Amino acid sequence: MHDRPPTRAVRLAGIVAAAAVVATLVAGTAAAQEGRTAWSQFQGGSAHDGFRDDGPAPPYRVRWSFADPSGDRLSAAIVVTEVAITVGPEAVYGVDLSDGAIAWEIQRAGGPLSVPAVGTAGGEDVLVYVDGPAPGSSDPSPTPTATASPGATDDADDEAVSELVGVTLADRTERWRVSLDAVSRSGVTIDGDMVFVGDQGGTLSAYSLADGTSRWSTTVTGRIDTPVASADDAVIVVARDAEEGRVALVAFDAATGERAWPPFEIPATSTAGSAPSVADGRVILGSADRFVRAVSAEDGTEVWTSLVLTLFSPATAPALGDGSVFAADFGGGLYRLDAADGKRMWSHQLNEVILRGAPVVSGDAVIVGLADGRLVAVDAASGHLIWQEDLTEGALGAVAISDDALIAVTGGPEAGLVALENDPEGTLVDVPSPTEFDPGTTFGRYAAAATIVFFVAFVPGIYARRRFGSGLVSEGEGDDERDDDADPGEGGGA
Amino acid sequence: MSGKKKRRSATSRPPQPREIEPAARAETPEPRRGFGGLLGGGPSILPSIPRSLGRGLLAVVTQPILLVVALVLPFLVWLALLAIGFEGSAGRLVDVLALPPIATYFDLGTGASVVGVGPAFLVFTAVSVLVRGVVYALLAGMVVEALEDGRVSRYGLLRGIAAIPVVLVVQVISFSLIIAGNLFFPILGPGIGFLAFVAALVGGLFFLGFAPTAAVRQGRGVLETIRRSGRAAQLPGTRQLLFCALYFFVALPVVVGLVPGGTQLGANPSLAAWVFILAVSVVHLAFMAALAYRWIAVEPLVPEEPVRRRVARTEPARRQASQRPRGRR
Repeated sequence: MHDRPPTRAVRLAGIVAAAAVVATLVAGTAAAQEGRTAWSQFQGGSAHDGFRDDGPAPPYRVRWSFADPSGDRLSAAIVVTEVAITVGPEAVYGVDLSDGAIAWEIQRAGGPLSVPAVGTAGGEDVLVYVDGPAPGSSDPSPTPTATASPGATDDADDEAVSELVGVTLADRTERWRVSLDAVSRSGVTIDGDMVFVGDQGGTLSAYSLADGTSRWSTTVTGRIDTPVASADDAVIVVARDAEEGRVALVAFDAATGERAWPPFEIPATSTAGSAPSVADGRVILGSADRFVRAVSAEDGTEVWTSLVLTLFSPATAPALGDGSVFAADFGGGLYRLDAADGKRMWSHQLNEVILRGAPVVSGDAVIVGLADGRLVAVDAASGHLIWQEDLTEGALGAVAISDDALIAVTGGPEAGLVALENDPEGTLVDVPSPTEFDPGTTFGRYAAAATIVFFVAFVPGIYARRRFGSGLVSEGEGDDERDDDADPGEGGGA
Repeated sequence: MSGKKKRRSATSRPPQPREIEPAARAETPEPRRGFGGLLGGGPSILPSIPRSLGRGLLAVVTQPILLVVALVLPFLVWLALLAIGFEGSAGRLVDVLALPPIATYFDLGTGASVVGVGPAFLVFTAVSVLVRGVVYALLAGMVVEALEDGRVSRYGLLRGIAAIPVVLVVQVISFSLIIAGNLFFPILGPGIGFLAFVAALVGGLFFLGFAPTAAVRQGRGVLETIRRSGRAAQLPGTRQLLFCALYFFVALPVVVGLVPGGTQLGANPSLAAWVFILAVSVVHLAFMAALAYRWIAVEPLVPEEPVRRRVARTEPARRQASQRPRGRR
């Protein structure tokens, strides 16, 4: 009776096998899709988690450098297939990841540099970036095109404002162009088929990725100048009111634009703070009161706080992954915090300002760019510095991670991009944070110093005491004391 | 009288407080009044600032116990800070032994760095005020004894213990001064507000600087001791404001700016940093001793009641002579 397998079992096995094949194909397609847009926006994705577990590992070597053709600066890069995309004052550039050559460029009117984003609409990759306003221009649409969305600029006033542009990435044809309410510096965030962008006037706008149709628009008090985060059907912005010195975390429903919960006011008098990141139902950000905060994405309640040494640059955002938060403060402190309760797992003080950089995680290394031009890699497990390279004279900015390269934005005289790849012949180091106490070293140095100071002070002091006397009992004064017991006031000249 | 300095001799033992003949009393100068008198200019009724500093330094470096205290305290503070999780620059240690309110400024900055600004900050501040009050009082007792007798003994420590309440109040006033300054001076704008804050720090030292020594030597009540410290500072011709401004300049911009390693964060200061920190600690103690030396010099001239400026302007020397304190001896 056991000579042939039961028919039902065979069928079941077949179904399981077929399901496995389908699952594999779907997963492969998803992976391929993900691979095509590996680092599609600021800090990798709409949640800004800055985490890629299959990124290249240190040590690194420079693959190529790319200087802004206009001689100015570039925005942080994103990566799509084999192209790094960056925004310059005069154009948006596609840079070949293999050799750093310009693959394509799209003319741009000017305006603040902000990070573009790429999403998929109708099976096509759509690049969205902010354009203008042109320097010195009061025209809200300095480069109107035939492909501009109808009515997009009809209600624009005379103030110079930025425009949001959607471009089909394959052939760089402009799909749509819409005028924003003010100048935008926030960069672009794409979540699914929605595009989110904030502006200096405090307007948060949502558009259709496919055609630029406005989905909704709302305002907050203050300006929105850091990338908007989007995850779990919520859109999170940091609103900074410079006049009142107030910062608030504000959440909106991604579909309707209605407020998801009351604004979470950051209890700090300065507006310096990071962009938000979202993971596992929590919004993480660093603020001017030197706290990294986790706020529930569901109801806006504070989950935990963790004190660090300094405040945060608005150009940074915490990286999230592997159950941890990786935050970099302005003073150069890199911290790994437990995402569950905010408990500090390690810190590494880099002793250099982190002005334009944001930490990203590539495999087992945390990468961050410093203001002195160094790119450093810290071991995610131990917090020890394992690699560093001086890449530029200016400040190093955000890093994008592709399959086999890091692309960092550089400052200085030849500002642009630099790509790094794993260097098989390179060496790693193992340097603990300078704030890790080494008893032997410290005691030894202190003992030597104390001995030096003691003898340098005491020996001349002995000679000086012989010469001048000690305290009030100097030779002359001592004589006086012995000779004259009179009240000094009696001898006063008064 | 002769040009030499005189002091009141001891009338009983244990060692008695001694006085230094005010340097200019013999010359019967017409002291300059008002701001000019506070800042300097004209003959001083106190030993000159260089002489005060020289005497202060000599009193410290010739007393091994004081020298050891100046060298050990910064290290103990550093270990304590590391133990409670401090991550920062060892350069902060240069003001561990600074005089209040500069030392208070150091404490507040350190507390904010370690625990942030919250309830824990108040606890940290309270503990630091308490510890610093005790340490300063003991140091004041030892410094005064070193100046008076050229030695340091348990008697100096006992006199310092008696001065603890006064020094604690000085610490609390310094703390309040800085907190108030942080709250109100920003209203004046960044430039004027900063200057006002600096003036507040200098003013705090100006009015409170003599209090620990006065407490050690006279053993009066807290308020009376602090009042007398203020009155002594306001006596014309003391150049106390100049002295305090000099100290402030040395203790903050110069010392903090010159510390090896600067603002580099680290738990293991370099040898050069330690040498600098410890040397500066000796200098701080020397300034404390210089203030004590100056108080001892001006002590007989400190009026029992607040000085009435108009009267003093006409007959300064006579008034000083008539208001010479009884003084507990």
